[in-house]
Amino acid sequence: MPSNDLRERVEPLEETLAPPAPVPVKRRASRRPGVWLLVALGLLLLLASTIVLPQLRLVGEAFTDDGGFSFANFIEFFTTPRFQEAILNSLVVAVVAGVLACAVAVPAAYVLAQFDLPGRNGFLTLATMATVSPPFLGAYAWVLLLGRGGILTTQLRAWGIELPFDTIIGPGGIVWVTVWATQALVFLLAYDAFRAIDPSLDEASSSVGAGPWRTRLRIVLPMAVPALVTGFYMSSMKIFTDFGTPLIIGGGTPMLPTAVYYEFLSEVSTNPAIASAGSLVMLGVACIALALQQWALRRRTYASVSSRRRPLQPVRGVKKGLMIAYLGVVFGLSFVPHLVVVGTSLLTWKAGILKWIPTFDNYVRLFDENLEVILMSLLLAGIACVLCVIVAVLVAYLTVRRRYTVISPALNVITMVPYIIPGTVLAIGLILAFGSGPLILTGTATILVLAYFIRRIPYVTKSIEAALTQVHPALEEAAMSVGAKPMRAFRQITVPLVRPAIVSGGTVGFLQMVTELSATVMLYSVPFITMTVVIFTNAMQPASPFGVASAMTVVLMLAVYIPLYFVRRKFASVTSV
Amino acid sequence: MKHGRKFAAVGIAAVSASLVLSGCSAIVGGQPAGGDDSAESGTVVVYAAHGPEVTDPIIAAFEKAYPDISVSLTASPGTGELISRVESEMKNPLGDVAWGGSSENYAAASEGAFAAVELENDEATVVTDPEHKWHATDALFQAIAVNTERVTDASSYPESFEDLADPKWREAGQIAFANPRSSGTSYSLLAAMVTAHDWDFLDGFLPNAKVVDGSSQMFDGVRTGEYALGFINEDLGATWVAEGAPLELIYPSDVVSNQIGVAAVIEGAKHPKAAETFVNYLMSKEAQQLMVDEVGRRSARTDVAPPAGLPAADELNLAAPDPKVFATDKDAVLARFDEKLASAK
Amino acid sequence: MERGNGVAVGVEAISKEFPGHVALKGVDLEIEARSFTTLLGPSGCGKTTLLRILAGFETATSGRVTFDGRDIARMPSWKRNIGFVFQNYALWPHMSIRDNIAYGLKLRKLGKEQIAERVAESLRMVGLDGRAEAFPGQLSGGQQQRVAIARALALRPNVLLLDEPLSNLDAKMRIGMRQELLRLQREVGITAVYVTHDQEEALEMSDQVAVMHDGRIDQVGSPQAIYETPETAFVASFIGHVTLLGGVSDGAGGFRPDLPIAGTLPAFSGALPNGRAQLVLRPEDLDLVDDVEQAHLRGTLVRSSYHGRGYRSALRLADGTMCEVDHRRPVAAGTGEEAGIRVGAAALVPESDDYYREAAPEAEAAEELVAAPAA
Repeated sequence: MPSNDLRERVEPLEETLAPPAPVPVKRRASRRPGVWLLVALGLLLLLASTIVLPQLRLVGEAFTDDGGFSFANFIEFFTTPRFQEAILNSLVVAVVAGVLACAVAVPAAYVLAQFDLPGRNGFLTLATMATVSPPFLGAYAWVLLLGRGGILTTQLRAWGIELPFDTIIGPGGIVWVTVWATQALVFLLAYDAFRAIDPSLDEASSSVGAGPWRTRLRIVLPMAVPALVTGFYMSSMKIFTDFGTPLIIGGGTPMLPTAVYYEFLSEVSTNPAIASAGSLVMLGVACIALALQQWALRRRTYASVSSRRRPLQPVRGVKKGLMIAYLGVVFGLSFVPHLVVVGTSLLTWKAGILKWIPTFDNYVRLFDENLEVILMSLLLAGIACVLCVIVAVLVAYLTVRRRYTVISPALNVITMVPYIIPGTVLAIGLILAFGSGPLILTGTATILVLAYFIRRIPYVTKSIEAALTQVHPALEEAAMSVGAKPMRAFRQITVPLVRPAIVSGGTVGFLQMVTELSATVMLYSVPFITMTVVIFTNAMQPASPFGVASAMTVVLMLAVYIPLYFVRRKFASVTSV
Repeated sequence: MKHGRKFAAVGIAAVSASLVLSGCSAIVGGQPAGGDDSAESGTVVVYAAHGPEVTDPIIAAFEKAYPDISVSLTASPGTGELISRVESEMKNPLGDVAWGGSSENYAAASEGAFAAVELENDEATVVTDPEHKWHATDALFQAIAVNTERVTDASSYPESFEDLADPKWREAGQIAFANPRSSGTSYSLLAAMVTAHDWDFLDGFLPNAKVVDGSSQMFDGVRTGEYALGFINEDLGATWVAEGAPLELIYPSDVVSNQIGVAAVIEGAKHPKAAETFVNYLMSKEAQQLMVDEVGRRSARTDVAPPAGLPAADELNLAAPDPKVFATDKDAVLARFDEKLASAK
Repeated sequence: MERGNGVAVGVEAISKEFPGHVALKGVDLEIEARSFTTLLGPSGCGKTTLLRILAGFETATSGRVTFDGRDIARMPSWKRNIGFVFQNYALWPHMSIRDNIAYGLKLRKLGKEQIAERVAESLRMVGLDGRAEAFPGQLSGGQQQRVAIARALALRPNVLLLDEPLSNLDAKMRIGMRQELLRLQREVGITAVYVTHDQEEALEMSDQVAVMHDGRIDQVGSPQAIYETPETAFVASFIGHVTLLGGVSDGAGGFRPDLPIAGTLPAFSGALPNGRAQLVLRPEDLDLVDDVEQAHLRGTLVRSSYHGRGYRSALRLADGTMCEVDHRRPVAAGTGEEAGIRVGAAALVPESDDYYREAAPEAEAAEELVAAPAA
């Protein structure tokens, strides 16, 4: 074997071995500002200018009274009974809905992650599909079924069956709709977490004599806590900031998003100062929730680094039947709005009233209008989604792995800001920031892309973050030890390892962008018309042609589910098994 | 390395696609044919707070009457959102016409949001804006709606606001009443009832009422039987009755609340001449007749008869709340309402 | 196989502070090129932190690290040309064994054939030829660790850093792997730095052992020196079971124990402390005698057990100290009766109550926290 020295052969390394520098012993050996620090600063700049800057008006308004700095708006906000009531209702509903969504989704995720059940991939696909609810019509579908005069309520009453409630309208209805609309998010996070748990951990547990239930509660569940915390956080924050659901199904229950929304945009009387203060209060609550979530995550050390795949346990008989039935019920209820929309799209509507006359007219009317909106929606959301994933991966990495003292928490908070800003308010901020001045974006497609990017960055970041905490840092260190620079190690080791989360987070983000409504209706302009705009304009007034809106919704669902199906198929080997 | 390149390529593709899009859109959407504006041709960008049931027939007729003007329609969720959009675009207006919402909404908009223009058809309308900013396009009256499946005894139907304060409605069901904070319709109703009676009337009425968010919830709620009674815009109510909804519409004998629906030319519009043509057309006899025949809504013109089945305006005891109280000091009115609502619970 | 890749490693006054915790308190160590050095110590002693500083995963708060005399304190790990073997293997689960090994070679822009050659050679060295296409998840723990070692060696690094690489393996495999690792290290002629808490591993494999304790190196030396002439009570007590007896040393070979000792003790080897000192007694250097007159020490027999080649008995001395003794022949004394102890060899260390006690389970957890960066 040739005896030439390695260092002769491998030149790039030779030059990197620094000459014996006459460096005195430094008190603090400092590292050069790495590429990552530059990336972090760049991201901070980008996010600050697109997320924070446009919303600064909000902060200004909130702290101004009679032209000077003041807390008066906050004092008024907290002392006004209707806001007090709204805060309390929103908090209670958020926590209850979050807990119930977890309670529903976690057993389902566990069952599917642990046992060898038929149709696993089908359920996983359903879960991803269920993260998208028909925009605008979701809560409406439940009212249509279970309102006091609802189809199901009336039918059951005709059969002499009394429901335990008069109507679904009310705070309970908000919780109900939210649970079924958000459980799939929790399900996907929990499923990924359960699949990632080192099988030897529960083997170890049973080896020391713990029964299966004890193992589940004491070993498996705690390992999935990061995902659960994130899932709970996301579903409770979703309802905490959701405007449409309480409006349609709340029956006038005072809720924070509606109260703040009307202070901003009521046709009767607005008070932007109080509304801004209210938004900041929501932001504050969201920050506290975020801090709690981070605190809960930080106390967990990394999950395993095992490369063993978790085996699926065989199960048969009644147990198997019960498991499948449970999954069926959970996903069945999540798809009620979808099914109702399909049903109503095939029925005749007259002046906003449903007639039991089957028809294809709604689709005919839809196809009379231009169908470019489908492509437009997919294109805008697609671009926004790619940007969103890239930024989210970087931000998640910076917050999980490279905890720069100031920059990382700042990035973390900034990416969460859009979570609590109502889409409409966000849109107004964007119009004010980019409607004049050096960069005019109003009236362009870019402003829609920007809005989608901003609105979904929190979700995509959180889901990738959850996955990153499960990848042991040693895997990246190993790459650096064999000569990979940090960026390369990140791209070639870390990114592929969190690819399932990138794919599922990106997919869900994309689906949510395609269905985004509240910012779109404030920002869109001809010819950049999306499917949600068509749905919305056909459903905005009580006498509107809902059938056309339903038909467009069905088309929208197909337009997102078909690409979703191919994505899942392509990545099936990564996202499932 | 392969991964790396792919990663970078996707990023670059995304960014460049976004840039291309924004570049194109700046040309196509940002400044649509800026110099090409006349009263007879070009484009008019209409921001509407109406659904397609209103906009479709009238815009179709307009485009027939003015074949060289194309209408670009942008719908807003509601009047509040419509006016907010116009206000936030004030530095660089992208719309030409705002259409939909009541005269009160437009009068309360920021200074400089709407242009003061005098139009030929203004004179023919029942009411004109002394500042010439808004232009009347329709008139809306509200009726009491009774769900006949929830309230089966026709002799017990209320005939006036006063009847709605009867404690019997607390038993029989609830009266849907949209929060006047969120609904202009409800605000008019509130103004009408406290003008016809007084604030203490609410002590009897509010305990019977179920306060909901937004007019749509009030209309839908009474139609579906979610609530036994409610209020409804007469045109919608009449349409629903004609479609077989179990509703009975009653114009209160004590007072009938009403609004004037309006449109306006946006200040700084890129196509001011086409905008004026459009708004003027909305007030034309042709368009107003469509409003009556196709939408079922009362015309704002004196020379167009109300839709068939709706009572003539002079048969009704129309409310005329004091604008000094109800237009200028809405916050005080709403605060007083909140107080009454809190004590009713 | 070429020789001479190994560099000499120097550690000068290295300190490392984590928030709220000082992991290293000024450590000096010289490591000869191509030698096998073990950092030995209990959980939380700082040995893993020192190794991670050598790797460049952590930056020292102060101090210098040199490779062949060149200061590399500011050189990032990816430029150091090291091999690192992790306790949990850290194989990339999304890559085949071949790709795991080839990854670093590709980064060095080696030709395709050369890479294939090196991968094959490395796999042959660790006895895994034929498994190149497998994925990490398909291998046993021992096989995974061999791949990890192959991955590190394929690069012909200057230094091979091993962080408790055998601790996840079962006992039998662990013993086999020790010799194999040593063979590989000698064959490649690489400088190896090996972290372990297993003193048996350290003694068996090392040219040089550095015993670490509370952020410092207590003693550096050959395994024999560490074992036979411990310099501190901690080193003495960490390497095997010992009994420590207090007394006064005159610095010239004389020792006056607090407990009366009959007769003359054998001469002490190594450095002799002056002043308060402790006598280090190892069970294997003691013998149990029935005739208490011939004994250096007397004690009450507490228990005695047979373990194949002899017996191990525990006696309680007059001051209550427990003393363990290995002896070939059975003794007549029964439990609770008096027996005599003869001292065959002994060492002296300066008196300290800072000696090793069996680690409590919590200490293990603490070590993990230190090892995980910024956790």
